[in-house]
Amino acid sequence: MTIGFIYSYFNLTKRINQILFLVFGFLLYNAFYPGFFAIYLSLSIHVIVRVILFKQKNIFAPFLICSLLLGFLLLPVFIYTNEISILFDEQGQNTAYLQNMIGFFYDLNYHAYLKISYLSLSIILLVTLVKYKFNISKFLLFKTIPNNHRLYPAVISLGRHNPRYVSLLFPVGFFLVSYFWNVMISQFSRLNKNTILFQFLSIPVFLSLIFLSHPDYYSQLKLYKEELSSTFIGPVDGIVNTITETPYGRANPYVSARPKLLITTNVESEAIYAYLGSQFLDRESFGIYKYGTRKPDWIIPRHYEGQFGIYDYLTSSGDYEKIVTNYCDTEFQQFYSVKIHYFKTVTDCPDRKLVLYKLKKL
Amino acid sequence: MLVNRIYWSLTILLLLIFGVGLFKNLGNTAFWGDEGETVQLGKSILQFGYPSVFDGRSTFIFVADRFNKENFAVYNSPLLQHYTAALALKLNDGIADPFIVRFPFALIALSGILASVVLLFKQKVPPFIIVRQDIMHFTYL
Repeated sequence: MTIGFIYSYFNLTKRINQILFLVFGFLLYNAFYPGFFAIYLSLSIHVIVRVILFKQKNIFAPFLICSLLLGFLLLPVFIYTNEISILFDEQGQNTAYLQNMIGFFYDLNYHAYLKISYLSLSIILLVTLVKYKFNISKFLLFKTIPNNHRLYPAVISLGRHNPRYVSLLFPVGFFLVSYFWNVMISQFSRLNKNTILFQFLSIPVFLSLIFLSHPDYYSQLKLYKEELSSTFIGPVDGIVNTITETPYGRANPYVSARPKLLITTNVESEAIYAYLGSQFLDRESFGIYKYGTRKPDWIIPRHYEGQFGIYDYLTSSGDYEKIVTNYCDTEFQQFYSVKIHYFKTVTDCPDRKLVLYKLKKL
Repeated sequence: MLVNRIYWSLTILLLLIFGVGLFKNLGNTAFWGDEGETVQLGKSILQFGYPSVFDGRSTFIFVADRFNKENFAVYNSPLLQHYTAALALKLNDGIADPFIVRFPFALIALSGILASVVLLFKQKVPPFIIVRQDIMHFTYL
């Protein structure tokens, strides 16, 4: 989406790219609006520079019209989110909009991603300005973007942050790494006129760089292979199968619906709801429900963050049958630890057996 | 050039291997918490037309107070993912099959890679560069 949005901007005088600008802009906003605003702001500055410094006035009208159309398309989404934001203001909180924006940038800033990228780009800009006196013709082309972000691959490969938070940037990183590598190889090739030799010589360098940035890279390939041929069974399977009286194995969503049940659990109620469709009391709503008259049909205390005992006053009332399962109550479903391609079926867990409490029938 | 043909063949082979691999075991793990949230909001879209923390009987409060107290509309994160999940659920009669729900997301990820390859090709980046990027990129998925 990001690449499509930027690419369509650079070719905005063509009708097809005007349509793509609207499509990718709309999707990008709804997928990741902090990224959308950051890119749109950059493009707006780019347009102003093109119009004022380079006298490219033909770009202004299509950009303005496309921006207005995009704004019109995004208006209902903005009104929807803004209504909720107003509610937050009334409750004395910051708006959800702002909170989310800060949240996303907090994730990106983890392990200094933003700081390093800011410093890197500042140095590049400074060196470029001093050494080359700002080559104005390159400023106008899409393909100069990778060149102007040459330290991006280093930035994205730093740290050990959970990649799902920055995964939206990977296609951009993919594009930039490839392009920059190509530029670098072509520089060497020009000197020696032996492209193929440098292509082959670059392979061990490239692999070494990957290993240095991600020491787990090769073991992850092995885990990926294992992932493709294995079945992973976790606590959500255990809960669904125990309630539906199904043998040990994966939960089957096609036969698991139990809409009449009332279930209380302290974590992952949405995941269990996806299979059972029952009425749920999660940890937040249970505080209100304790004044209700119907007792939950099932109580599932999970070990998550030491919360296992929170339903003790209910489960010790004598109304519930304790069921100790063969499943392990791991912190997250299937993830023994949140890493890429690190799924695991945990079977040895003497202290963390999955336990359910079933309401006794009178 | 022969070398370029070899690299292009490798690119296509890698796209095929990882493209198939991406979908092969997609449904072979149950939903975990965050995925369950996406499914629940997808189901509520089918019910009300917008993501809601309340399905008529249960209230799912993943982040306290981030919903409208009058209509239970939630805005905890951008909306596209929830509508994508709703579409997948709609196509499967509302049944939350992990493979079906994850499928459009995997398809979007694969499309991103294919788009990158096409753009690189248009920028005249040699295929051998693309091959190595394919390996690196697919490992993240």
